[in-house]
This record gives sequence, C-alpha cells and structure tokens, in this order.
Amino acid sequence: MLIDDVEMDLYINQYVIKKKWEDCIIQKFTSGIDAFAYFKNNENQLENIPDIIFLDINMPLMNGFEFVEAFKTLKENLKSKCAIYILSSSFNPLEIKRANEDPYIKAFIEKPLTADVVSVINHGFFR
Amino acid sequence: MPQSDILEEIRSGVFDKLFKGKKLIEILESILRPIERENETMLCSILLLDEEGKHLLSTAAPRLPKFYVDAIHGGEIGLGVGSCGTAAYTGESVIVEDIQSHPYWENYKILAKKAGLASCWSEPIKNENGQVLGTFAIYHHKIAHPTNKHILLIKQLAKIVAVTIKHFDTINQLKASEQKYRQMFEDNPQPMYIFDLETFRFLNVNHAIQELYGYSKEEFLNMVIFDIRPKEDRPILKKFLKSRLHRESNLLEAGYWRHIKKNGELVYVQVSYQPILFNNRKAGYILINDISEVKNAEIKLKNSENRLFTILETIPDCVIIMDLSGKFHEINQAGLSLFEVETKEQLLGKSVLDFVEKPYQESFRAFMKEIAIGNNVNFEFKIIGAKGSSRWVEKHATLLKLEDGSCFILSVLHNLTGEKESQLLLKQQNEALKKSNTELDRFVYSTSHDLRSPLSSMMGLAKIIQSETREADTYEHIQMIQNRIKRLDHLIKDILSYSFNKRTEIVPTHIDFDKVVSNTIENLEHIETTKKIDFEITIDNQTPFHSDLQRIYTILENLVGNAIKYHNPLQEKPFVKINVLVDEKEAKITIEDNGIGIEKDLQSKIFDMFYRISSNQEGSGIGLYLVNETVKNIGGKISLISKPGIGSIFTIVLKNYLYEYPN
Repeated sequence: MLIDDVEMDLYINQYVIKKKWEDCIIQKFTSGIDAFAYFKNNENQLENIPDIIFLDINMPLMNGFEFVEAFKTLKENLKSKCAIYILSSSFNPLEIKRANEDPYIKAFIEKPLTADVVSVINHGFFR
Repeated sequence: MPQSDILEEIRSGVFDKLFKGKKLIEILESILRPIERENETMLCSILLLDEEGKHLLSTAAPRLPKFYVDAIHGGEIGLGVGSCGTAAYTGESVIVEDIQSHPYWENYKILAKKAGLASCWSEPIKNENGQVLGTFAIYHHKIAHPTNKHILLIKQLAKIVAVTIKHFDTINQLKASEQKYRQMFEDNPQPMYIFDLETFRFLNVNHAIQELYGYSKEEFLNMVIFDIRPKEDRPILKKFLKSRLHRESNLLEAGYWRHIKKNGELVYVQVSYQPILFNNRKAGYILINDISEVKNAEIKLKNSENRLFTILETIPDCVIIMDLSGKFHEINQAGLSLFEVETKEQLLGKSVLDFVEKPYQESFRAFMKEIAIGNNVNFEFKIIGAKGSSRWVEKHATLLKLEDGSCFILSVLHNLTGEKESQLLLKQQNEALKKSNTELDRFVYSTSHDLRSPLSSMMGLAKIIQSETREADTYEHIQMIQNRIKRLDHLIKDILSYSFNKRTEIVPTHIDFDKVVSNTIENLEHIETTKKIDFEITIDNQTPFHSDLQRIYTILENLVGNAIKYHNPLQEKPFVKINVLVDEKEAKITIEDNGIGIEKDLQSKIFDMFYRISSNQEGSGIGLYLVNETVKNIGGKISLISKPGIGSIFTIVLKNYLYEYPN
C-alpha cells in the first residue's frame, strides 16, 4: 500500500515496485484519512490488509505520524501483518529520529524510492 | 700725674674693658694698677662679699703676697676682723695706721708681719642703696697716716669699684638675657623669622623655619618675605602690610597665609606678628603656625563635599531630604524634574505627601512612621508632578540624625515608569522576535520540504528513465539532469542543517567515533570518486566522548565530503586520513587529504557564507560556513593547514561534554 498526497510520487513508487515485484497488488491512497478508513473497513478481512505500507510523512489533514498513531489502535493481528516504511523527502532530524524510534515503523527511507532499495526490502521481507 | 688724671685713666680703662667683655678680676686689677704705679708704697686690694654677704673673697690684689691673699680669702666678716672684715661688717671706713698695735688686727698681726704689712686703710664698697658689696683697702709696709687727699682717693676708688661692679652685673645680665632670647628664637620649635619693615628682607630666621621651608639661613637672608609666597598672593600681602604694619601693637594675629617651600610645596600657615627693633632697625617678628594638615584636611573635605554634591546633582534618581512630616528641605536636580518644578523655591513649605497620589497617601504616612523609628524600608507608589504627570516611583529612605539632635529623612526616589515601560517593551519585542524566529524556522522547513518533494519526484523519474533507456545519449542526459538535481538537493539540505544548528538545542550523547566515521563515509558513497579514495582511519577513543551527534555528523560529512570531492585527479593514490583523539576535555579530529589544496590567500575566506573557490566545482558555498558555525555552536575550534597541489589538513577540537552540560 502506498500512502502519499503527491500523485506523481504514487506513480513513481508504483512503477519502481512493479519493476521488481511484477505480480504484487498495489493500493494507493492520497491521504492518511482515506487509508485509515480502508483499514477500519477491512478490520475483519485480513486478506485485504497489505503486507507493506510505504507512508509519506508530509500530508495534509493527517500526516504520516498521525496515521501511525491511528494504526496503533487497530487489532493486533492486523497490525502484525503490516510492515510500515516511511518514505519521505523530509530531512528533518527530529522526524527521522521519531521514525527510527517508533516500534511500528520498520525504517525511514529517503525519497526517491529506487530499485536498489526495493530489492533490499524484498530481501528482508521474504526472509 | 695729678690725681684727677689718674682717676680719668682708671675710668676710661674700666669702661673699655667692660665693653670688651673682660673678666671682672681683670677689670678690677686695671683699677688698682695706675694707683700702685703712681704711689709706689701702696699695696691695694679689693675683697668682695660672697652671695651670703658674710664672707670676703680675695678678688684683686696684684701686689700683695700670694700666701697672704689666700689666707684672708673666705674670712667671715665681723667686728675686729682686721680692717676689711670690720669695714664690711660695719659699713664704715676703718683706718688702721699700725696693724701690730690695733685691736682689730689682734688675730692677724702675725700673718701681717709675715707679709710685711704695717698699715691698712679699708673703705666699704657700697651700691647706690648703701648695701655693702665688699671692701677697698690700701696697705703700706710702714706705719702710715692717711692725709685728707688719701681719704678722698680711697672713697673715690671705692665708688669706682661699686659702679664697675654694677655695670659688670648689668652687662652680664644683659648678656644672659640675650643668650636666653637667642636660644628661645633659634631653638624654638615654632618657625619664626624677623624681617625688615622697610626693605622686607629677612633679618633673621630660626632653625624650625629653615627645616619647614627647606631654605638655609644664608638663602633666607638673601630673600624678601614675598619670595616665600605664591605669586598671586603677593599683592594681597602688600596691601595687608600697608594697612596693618604700622599700628603699634603687641603680638597680633596676622591671619592665614599660603607660603611656598623651596620644593614648591604649599604650606598653609597661621601668622602672629610683633613689631620689634632688630639691630636698630624697625623690624617685624613673625611667628608661624603650620596648619597645612588642618587645611589639607579641610580642602579634602571640601573636595569630597563637592564630589558628593556633584554626584547628587548628576544621578538620575531623585534625592530628597525632608523633615519627619515630609516637608522638603533639600532636593537634587533629578528631584526637581520628577516633581515637575523648575526651582527648589517652588517646593518650599510643601510636603512630599502633597504629590503622592490619593490611594497611596495612607500607606505613605505609615511608611514615614517606619522610617522615623529607624527602619529602612522600601516602598513603591505613584506620584503626580506639579504639571500633572503620574509616575511610578520606588522609594528608599533612611533616618538622618544630625549632631544637634534634629532628625531628617534622606530618601531616594527611583522613577520606575521608564523601567516598567521598557520592561514591557522588551518583553513584547522578545515575544515578537521569538514568534518571527519560529515562523522563519517553520518557513525554512516547510519551504525546503516543499522544494525537496518535487526534486525527489524528478529524481525518481530520472532514475526510471535511466534504467530503461537503451539510447546512450539519453542515458548521459538523464545523468546530467540527476547531477543538477543532486546539486540543488544538497543546497536545500545545507540550508536545513544551518537552520537546525541555529535552532536546535545541543543534546550531548555518547559519540562512538568508530561508528560515526564509518557511517559518514558510507553516507558519502553516492559521490562518484569515493571508491577511488583510500581511507585511513585512526581512532583513539578510550575516554568516552559526549557531544551532539547530529552536529558531529554535519561537521564530518561536510569535511570528509570536501576531501573526497576536491581530491587531486593527478594523484595516483588519493587518500583521506581521519584521525580522532579523545581525552576528558576534548576530542581532536584531523582530516587530512592529498587533494588539490587551497591557496594561502583564500584560506581565510572559505568559511564565509556562499564563498566558492571555483565555479566549476559542485557545491553550494554553504558547507564550510555551516561546519564553522556548527563547530562554534558545540564549543569547538577549527583550523586549516593547506598547500595547493599537496593537500589540506583540517583540525577540529571539540569540547567534551562528558562532565559538563552545555549552557
């Protein structure tokens, strides 16, 4: 699942991921609120829950961190299925620090997402 | 020689010797000598009574045998004690013509016979009051009868002796008193001088004045009394002398004067004056009392009073002296402007209370009572000036007890209005500044984020295109686009770091230099040439080092990044040596390269903002400025040694916050 308010970034990320994982299903949300609503609606349909979330920080109304906080209120089995990666162009050390310290966030990835990074995640994910 | 001539000779001889200050015995012998010369048979003697008036002392008897003179010396006077003893005792002349048969000589006739003396006429010497001073006697070797002429002579001689003794005593007394006077003058501890009233020359000076003024007696005697005065005082003295000097008067006060010592020092003196005759000249006798110490103390007091006054008049706070009811007695300049009046007179008869705003009057009275019982209290209240301005003042007051027992209150009123206003203003400005700083930070952050966001999109797309194209030219062009994007991205990162460095608190944590250095190099691997560089890393961090991690990264990434970017392309083995040495006080980090180096005259400029050595190098011109700012920010120093074509060594010394927390 990709959550980013910038359509073009959604496109790029999808493109890069598709290049690596041709048959994966990608859901795109342009806001944290919509994404969270999706989780809420599918709380009992675990098969609809993504394995990986690439989450932007800087978004209107609900930013990435606020989304993570909301995510924490979800059911345990749901949460444990998802790996959240922050994908941001932010260089704010406080944001990087926060991302690194949050147990629900796997890693902070600096934009743009590249094929190399996807490989690394792929590697880690399947291992 | 006629008898009158002999007497004349005697008289003039006596006076001559008297005035020459000869001894009495010599003078008396000079009376006897002419008599004995003219009358060869006569042997004369003068015996004088001792102080008791009971014994005769042999004083002059040039022709009498010595043993005889010694024998009668000191004999007690009395009736029948020879001619002289009897004459001195009775005060009458005793004429003994034959010593051997005369009853007065009964006890002395053997002695007289031995001395070959046969007769002795003795006449008492009396002063003008008839008091016996001694005897004058004429002896003969044979029995002798005096003629009338002889009797007259003997009486005249006795008189001459009496007069001589009187003169002698007078002269001696005079001499003694002169000696006394001289001593009193010369050795008097008080400085004195005598000056001529006509020429104003010094006629005599004593030791004390020589000592005080530093002039010797010889120097004084060549000076006039004006010479020991300051030039500006001389006309005053002249006027004074004219008006006062000729008044006949005993020791009179002649006022206070300033004198000048030989070394130029001023002496303040109190002078007493007495007119005297000195060596037949009209003179002034001056007694000097050195009051310099008193005067200097007075001057000092005056000066300190003046200083105090100046301080009081120039301090910006209002100073008031008021009585216990609050009535104004004294006020300084600042006070006048506080109460909005021009002169002190306008406050005459008024009370401070008249100016205190109504709501504070009650507490003002209570405050005055506290002061009156001796408590030092401070009090804040509002006053209204004569022109109606209302002001906040703080009052400090103290009870002032004067020597005559009267009490006043000394109080200082400090105008708080300005302070309160400026405090408020400062607070407002500070808040505004804080707000604008926060806004600016937010602006920098959001702007840079907004700038980075599209950049990262462009970069992502560029990478996609690059990975998919088969056209060599397209590949190159996309690479060029990426380089430009990277350049812009760095600039934004630097700006963000700068803002971060300025804004964020220093949070010291343990710095693991092994990890920090390897991470730094890893982070720089995106630079093409990093792979070509040989890194040599020496880290001695046995002592733990604490500082701000984020800032250390900023410093190292920039410096190591530069060392990589500005390597010497002609160098076969480019290297970067990173050396870290930690002790309890600081960490010393050196980053050495064999890169292109920096020209001497450019070295001082490279830490300036936006300074770039060459335009064909990538870089924003912020990197080293940022390094320098950050190093300073965490209590460090940076220095550079560099030679073009050889390389550069940056040395950074950073403070260890292991035991000390940054402010």
